[in-house]
Amino acid sequence: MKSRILFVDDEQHLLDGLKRSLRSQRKDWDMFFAPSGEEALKLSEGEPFDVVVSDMRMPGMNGAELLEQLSARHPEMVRMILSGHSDEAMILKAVPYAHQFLSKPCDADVIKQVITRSLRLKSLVSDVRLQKLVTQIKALPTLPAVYIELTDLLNSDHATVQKIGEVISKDPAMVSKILQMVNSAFFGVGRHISNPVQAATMLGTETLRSLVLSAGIFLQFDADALNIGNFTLEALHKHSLHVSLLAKAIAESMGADKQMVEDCLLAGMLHDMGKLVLVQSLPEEYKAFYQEVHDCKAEMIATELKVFHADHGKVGAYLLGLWALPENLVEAVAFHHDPQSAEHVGFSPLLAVHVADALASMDSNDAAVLPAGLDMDYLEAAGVSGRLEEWRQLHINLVEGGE
Amino acid sequence: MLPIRRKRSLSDKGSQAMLDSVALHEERNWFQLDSELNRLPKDQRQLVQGRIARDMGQRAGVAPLGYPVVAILLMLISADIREHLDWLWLPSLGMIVSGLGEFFMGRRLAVADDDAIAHPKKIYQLFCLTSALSWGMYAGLIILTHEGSPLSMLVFLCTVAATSISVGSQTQEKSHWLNFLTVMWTPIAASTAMVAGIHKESEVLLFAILAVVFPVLVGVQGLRLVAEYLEAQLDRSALENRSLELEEALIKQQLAEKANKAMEVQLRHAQKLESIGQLAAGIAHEINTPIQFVGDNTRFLQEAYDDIGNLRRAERALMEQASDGKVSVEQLAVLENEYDLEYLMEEIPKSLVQSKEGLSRIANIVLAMKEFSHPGSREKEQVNINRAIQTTIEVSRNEWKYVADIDCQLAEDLPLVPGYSQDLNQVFLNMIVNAAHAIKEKNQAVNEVRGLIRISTRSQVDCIEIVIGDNGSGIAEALITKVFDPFFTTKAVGKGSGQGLAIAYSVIVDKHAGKINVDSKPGAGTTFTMQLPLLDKNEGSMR
Repeated sequence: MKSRILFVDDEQHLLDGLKRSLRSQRKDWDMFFAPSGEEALKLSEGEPFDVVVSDMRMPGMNGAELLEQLSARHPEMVRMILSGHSDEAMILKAVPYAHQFLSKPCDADVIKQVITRSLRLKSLVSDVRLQKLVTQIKALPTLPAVYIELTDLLNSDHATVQKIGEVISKDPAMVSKILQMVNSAFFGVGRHISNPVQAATMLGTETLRSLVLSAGIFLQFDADALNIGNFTLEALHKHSLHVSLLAKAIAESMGADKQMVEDCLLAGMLHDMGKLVLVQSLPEEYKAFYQEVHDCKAEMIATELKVFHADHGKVGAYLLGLWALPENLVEAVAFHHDPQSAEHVGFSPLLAVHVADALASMDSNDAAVLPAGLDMDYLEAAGVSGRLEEWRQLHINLVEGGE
Repeated sequence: MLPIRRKRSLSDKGSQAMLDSVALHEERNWFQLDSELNRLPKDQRQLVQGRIARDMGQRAGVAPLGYPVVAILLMLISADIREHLDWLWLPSLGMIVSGLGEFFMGRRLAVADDDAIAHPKKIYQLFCLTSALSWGMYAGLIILTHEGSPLSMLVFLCTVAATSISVGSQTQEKSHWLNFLTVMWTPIAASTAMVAGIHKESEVLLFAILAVVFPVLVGVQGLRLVAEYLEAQLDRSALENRSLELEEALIKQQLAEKANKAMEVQLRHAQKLESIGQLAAGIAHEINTPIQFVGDNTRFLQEAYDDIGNLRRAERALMEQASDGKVSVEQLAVLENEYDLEYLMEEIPKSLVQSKEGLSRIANIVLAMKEFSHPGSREKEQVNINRAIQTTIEVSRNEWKYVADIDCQLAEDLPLVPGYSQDLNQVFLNMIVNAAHAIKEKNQAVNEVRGLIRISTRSQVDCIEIVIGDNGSGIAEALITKVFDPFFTTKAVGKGSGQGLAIAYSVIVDKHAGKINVDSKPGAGTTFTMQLPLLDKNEGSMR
């Protein structure tokens, strides 16, 4: 089945140009072109689209309004902004509804690549209901303490961007969102950024302030609404931080370059994003799932598949992918319980996170952290199985260092 | 707004200060004048006092020389006086000395400097006192020796009158006047009482009464003269003071105007930067869009070229393979269909046309931007107003195209006008942007409604007229007189500096000697009408 892509722009020439330059995709995509937001809404009333790419500033309904409407009517649609505008206030309005921001002029290859990638991501989560839930997510819950610290910092006059970045890097939800912003063409430079402090520096204090305080890109965790047994956000944070540091240590032990070390650190931080998504979107089912795992000592991934029709790794990866986070991070998150599904073998953030997660969860009894198995075949294939003992030692060092 | 208010407060303050210093043309008694004198600042008071003292010295003239002359004459003509010289030598000597002294000190006083006047004044007053005392003593002694003869009574009266006048004229200061009065009155009262006591005659009593009343009358009269004089001096000083303050105020005002002008230049510059910055973002967008589709089209053309090349190769292969050298139309059609030739043939020319259009759009914007921001010369040049308006519409397109259409009716026969093109561009830009904002404000709630900006030019007898109107939110009646005030803005903080229309006013009216007029109805729209003269008035007056 061909994917259905909708382009919206008030400039007919631009639509014509896109139509021509994306002609090579005609075998895979059914492309539709709407000259206005109203027209786009009308078109989407028929068969829904997989991806919508909209201009920002149009007479009548603007891009932000269109995406808002579409996200309410057809939440499973992947929504992108393609704008030549540098008006930050306007872009901020679209921040909650757009998954990605592309900047005009944008090479047809990039458009092709971005759309292809988001279509491919759908294969991670085959369940349509879950797809809808993930595409609807505007922000993920953050730790109240960190959230308050951040808003205090942003409200004070003497906040340095360095300090803001450090606070953000404590919380996986914040880290993922800030990377979405900085990796988008509008706010950032559109190149691979995986360091939250660097991301904060690139956005600048003013933009961060408006993103956090006005656009509300971070969501404060509501402990009452999300009261699931003894699942606590704090425990998940602690686990994520531990995995993150361990993955970094593993990467360092392999003599990886700086970028790789940072990617590993980040992949570790974000690897359980899927749990946040599930907890936030489906609290009741998460409760049931948790009971089942806990009572029957059932295998976690199998139970997840049974209850949600997807595992938390893939769910998290789907969201991060939609947010255009770097590919290797998405891969690491998606397959951290199932590394053999990944396309390549060798040392990667995926491997580091897989090992770190397995080691860290082995002796954890926390509700939010469920023991993960180590895929020895994969390690064998990557030729690193011999170093497992060394890494286990790193884990023990970290635990002791932490205590 | 600000500069005007500053001017006003300055002059207010100045006149207030003058009201404090003196109440001109107001009836004041001597004591009021004196207290007024004492209220003056020290240096000013010294100035007035010095002026009075000098005048006094000048007016005295040679009169004091009369005292010794009278004394000597009296001695010569009156045998009685010579007879009683052993009593009269002291007042006579006093009169001679004080008369001479008064004369010389009067001279000195008349030419003394302000800061050195106190000393001669004091000595002068001392001589005055001596002469008054001598006169009094003289009169008393004569009455005593003549025991009430009419001559002696006459001499006595003259003496008292003279002393009274001398007292009155010397006492421009209250304390001194009182001192003089006390000192003077003692001998006069004593001698009168003595005479009255010795001669218990009605005649003598009458003289005694006259002797008391007369000097009082004369003294009061003298005092009044002094008061008038003092008043004149005070008023004069106040006037001087006022003119001084006026001058100061004038200088201050000029300085303020100069500063305002400098500030205005800076603000105009800032506003220009602001509008150019604002434009730059819009222009980037305007350029980005054609770049996007020209790029897309170019990419398509490349692919299409490849496709056609491949088709050519496939056709060739087909022909080479054909055993009998013949290729059927169907076979070719299948191949062409495979490569989508029909589509390519249709789209290639279209994409070329659109790309060309896109490129010329970019070129236009860049050209307009260049023209718009062209620095222009310092001198006035002949400006094509139509062209300037078109350029401005082009560069500001992104500001208005989402909210309004522009209906542009430019007179084709519009003559060139002398002017500063860049300043005029700025004015048109401000007006168009304002119009767009007004329309946006009005139609905020309903997105679908588009406003209309009407721009027209036409030629008139000795000027050209430019009308820029919109059907936006309009200006409230109460605010319409303020729209040209600097810093006046109804926009939110950070949305406008409030300089736009002030600059328009200064450019059209001050720099080009033109006229600008605003007509607005709340809810219906605003129309600005500008007239630019065909002849450069500034230049004409210079020739």
